[in-house]
Amino acid sequence: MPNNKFSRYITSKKHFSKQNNYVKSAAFMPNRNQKLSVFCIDELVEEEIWEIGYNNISIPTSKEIYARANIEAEDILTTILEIDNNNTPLRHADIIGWPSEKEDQKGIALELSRKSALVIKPPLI
Amino acid sequence: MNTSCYSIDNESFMYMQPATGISEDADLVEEIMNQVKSDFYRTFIFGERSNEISNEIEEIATEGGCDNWDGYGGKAIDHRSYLVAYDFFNTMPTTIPVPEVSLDPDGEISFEWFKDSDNIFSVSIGGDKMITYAGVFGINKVQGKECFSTLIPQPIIENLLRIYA
Repeated sequence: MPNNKFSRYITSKKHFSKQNNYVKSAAFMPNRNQKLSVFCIDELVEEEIWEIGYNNISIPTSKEIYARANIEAEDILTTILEIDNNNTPLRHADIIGWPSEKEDQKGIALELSRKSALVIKPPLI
Repeated sequence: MNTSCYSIDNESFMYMQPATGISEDADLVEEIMNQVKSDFYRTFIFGERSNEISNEIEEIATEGGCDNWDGYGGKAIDHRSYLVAYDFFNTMPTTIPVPEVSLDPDGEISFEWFKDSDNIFSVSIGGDKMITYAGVFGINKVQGKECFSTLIPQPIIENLLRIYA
């Protein structure tokens, strides 16, 4: 069964706005390897989703997760991007196929941010 | 009924042409103008606006002070990007609302104006003074690249006008 829904874990308080309830485009910009790291969250409950972020982002990097951006595969694939479901670690995927020019990347990141849904991490998770 | 009215010109009213004179009088005029500018930034309205962004940029500089600041391999912000971003904002027309500020994975500072999910304009600027931008205005989309020197490039102002005019 194809993966349908992904989460981008957000480790910067400046990458989302609680007041406006949206994820900023900077949270969707690719890293220096031209990849955007996400995790598939299909058929998971909230607690399990946060646990994936904790185990795969917070522990190895010592970075706190403040929120996440949920996005549908369809919304990613309607851009020029592709999803590499490498499953390494489990449920991990990279969003790839980014253009090389930053202004083009910003345009796509803005599209992804508009289509994503902000989920603030609740306390005590 | 109250109505907001924005008047957006292509310069901050605090914008001053860089000094080019070499006489003693020119030096004196420059000193006076710098004092005027400094006094304005101490006023509540303009000081608040400038301080708000200054604090935001400083928080970002602290957060992004070293490589891998985001846990995804993000590049550290460099001192020049910090200064250019601060200069860029202070050159903006003061009628433009204060934007959301964030750090890009390549170490550039991003300013984002969000009115609603159909009206967003985002600008990134780094130490080389290159501005990259992208915006959504209803069904219309823009993106591009401009160089920042002493004035905010016209396309940036025009795109902001699409949100705030």
